[in-house]
Amino acid sequence: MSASIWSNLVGQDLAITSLQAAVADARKLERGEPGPAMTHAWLITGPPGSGRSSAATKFAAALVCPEDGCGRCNVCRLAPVGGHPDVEVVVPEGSEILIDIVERLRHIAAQAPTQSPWRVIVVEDADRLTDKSGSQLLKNIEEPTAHTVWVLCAPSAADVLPTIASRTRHISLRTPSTANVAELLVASYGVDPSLASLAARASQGHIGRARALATDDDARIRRQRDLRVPFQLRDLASCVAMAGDIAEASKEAANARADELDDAEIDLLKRRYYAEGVSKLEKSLRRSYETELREMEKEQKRRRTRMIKDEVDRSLIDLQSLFRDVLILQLGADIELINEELRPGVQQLAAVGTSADTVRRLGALEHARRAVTSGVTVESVLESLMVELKDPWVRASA
Amino acid sequence: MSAPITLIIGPEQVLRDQARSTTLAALAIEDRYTVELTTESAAGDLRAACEPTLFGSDVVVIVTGLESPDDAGAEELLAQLSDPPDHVRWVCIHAGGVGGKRLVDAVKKAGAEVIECKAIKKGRATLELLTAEVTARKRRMTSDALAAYYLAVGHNLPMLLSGLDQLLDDVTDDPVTIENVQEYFAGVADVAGWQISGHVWDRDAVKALTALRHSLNNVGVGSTGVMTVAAMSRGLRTVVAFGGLQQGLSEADVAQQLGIPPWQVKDVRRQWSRWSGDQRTLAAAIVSLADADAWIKGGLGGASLDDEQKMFELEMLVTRVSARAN
Repeated sequence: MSASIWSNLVGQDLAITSLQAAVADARKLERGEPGPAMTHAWLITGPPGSGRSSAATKFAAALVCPEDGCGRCNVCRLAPVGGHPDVEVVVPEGSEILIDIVERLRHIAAQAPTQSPWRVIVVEDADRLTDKSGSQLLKNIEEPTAHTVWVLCAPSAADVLPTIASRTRHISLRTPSTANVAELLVASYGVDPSLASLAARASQGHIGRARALATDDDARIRRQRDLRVPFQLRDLASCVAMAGDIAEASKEAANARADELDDAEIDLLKRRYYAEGVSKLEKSLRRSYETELREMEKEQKRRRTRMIKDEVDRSLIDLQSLFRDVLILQLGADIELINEELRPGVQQLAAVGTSADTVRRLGALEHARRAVTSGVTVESVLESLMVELKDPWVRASA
Repeated sequence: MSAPITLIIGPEQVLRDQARSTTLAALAIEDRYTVELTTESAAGDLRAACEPTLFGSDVVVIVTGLESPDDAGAEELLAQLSDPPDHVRWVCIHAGGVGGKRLVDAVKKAGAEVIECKAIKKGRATLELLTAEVTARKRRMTSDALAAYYLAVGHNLPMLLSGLDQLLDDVTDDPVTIENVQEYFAGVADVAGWQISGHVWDRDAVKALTALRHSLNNVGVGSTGVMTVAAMSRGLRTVVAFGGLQQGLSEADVAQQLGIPPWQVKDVRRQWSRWSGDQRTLAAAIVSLADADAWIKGGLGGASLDDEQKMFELEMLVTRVSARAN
């Protein structure tokens, strides 16, 4: 089998084998033969950036492609982005998948496929299902329609309701190796090999992040600025100032992305209501337009907050990678550095402290990451973190 | 005799509302019709409002929404203005922006008295507005009292104006002093938080704890906690940033660099003098405060704390941070 739709799912050979077997058995089922490798509900898990949604949509495409996912035909091109009538891809934009989305999926699931033997519904970030919408989805999975296939994605099986986890077949993805990611960057995005390997290392196997670092100058500049932070913590005032800088930069980056998404969404909504040449809506229409707009703006606000936190988290991950490297040098371990290009700086940090200091700093970073996601004021978290990076033992007297 | 037409125009709603009530009060006409020009029924409403009255008495027609008028409504208004009925006094309200320019021009041409309601910016412009308000009430308020009041309420013009009204009603001292303002706001959580924070960074544990208990009694641990921690974080940020400034800056420069009002500078300078020799405790306070921000909101283990435990932790925090190390 050399179905090439799988070709840029890097470092996931085991998962690909299982999914290809499923596609092959799906064909047997279509002919009325037994096909045990195929089933109606899947849960694809893996660390962020390992390509969960990519694996899920490729699987969907392979099921509806007449040639089991040739990777060349229109079906293979359109199905992964939801452009095939028998494939529904749900990409939750908000922080939660709410009941009305699941309700819509229920209707889609009940429809027979039109152009292929299967109707595939892909739910990215199924970990954002709420208890309520999750239970609703469970009902659909428990009573499957003959030709419907559910493909859910989540970081791990523990992130979805146990009842959903127990009714789905699991495919788990690994963190792809640095070499795999670098190869992908060179092959698919034409990135210069040395930049590709730097981006692959820095992203620690997160493909999307690697691509951003390899192709987006701003992302690279921000990362470099973040990694300089530990060298600039001279006194409390600089700690507070650094914290403010990181918070500010995160907000800026998140706002830029959020603005774009918000505008596009509102534009789409407007186009739905305002027909060509219409400049004013009738009363009843305007009311429903305004209601929808308000709902949308509420959701957009939630998303913006989440994006800011994601940006802060990204900076914290970069700092974690730096101190992980420091620890490796301090322990004399023979392991590749994530930030190889910063080796002199890493050496400098390794020389001024002990491994015990570094472990405490890594602990502070882990603590800060959890604090950010749990809704603590970002500035306060970062200030505390900076103080702890400067003096890892300060918490003992706090 | 006021003009038969008044045009109230500009983006600041508070000022528009104010202008509207003063104008209506000056007209002293009981019969009022309000026509919302943005609705589809505007043209009909307007026509009905301008009908002659049974006893030939005067009416006020208040037309709102000139900035985005319904097409038919706009035409009707233009028609009415070109041949204005004698018994109608007009109050036209435009919420700012470029919309409805044709109407604005027509209203002005009809001899309107124009009241501009420009947006009030944060800071000095707002303080000036408040000062004007105090003067209009024939009262006096010291500048630090007014600034403290502004800081306590935050930049919310409707709240600022209505609150000021209330304050001037309740406080009979003249001029109103900062002590009056503090006393007046003793039961309001964010003001209490601001006061507690002041005492903490002054390292006055007794006053800090007293103010905290007072606020806990008055408004409960929920809002007291969140507000106090937030205010302490802000206070801390300012004190630490002050420590990082170069020496010998003028008060105005310090205020500008720290983003605080000038009257606060001497407080911050005093607070810094009490911490400058004790950076380690200050660093520890930063860590404690970030943790407190988590548990007071129920994150990172805070969910298991009940209200009594939160109150206790809060008192411990305030005491520990403000205690003098010696």
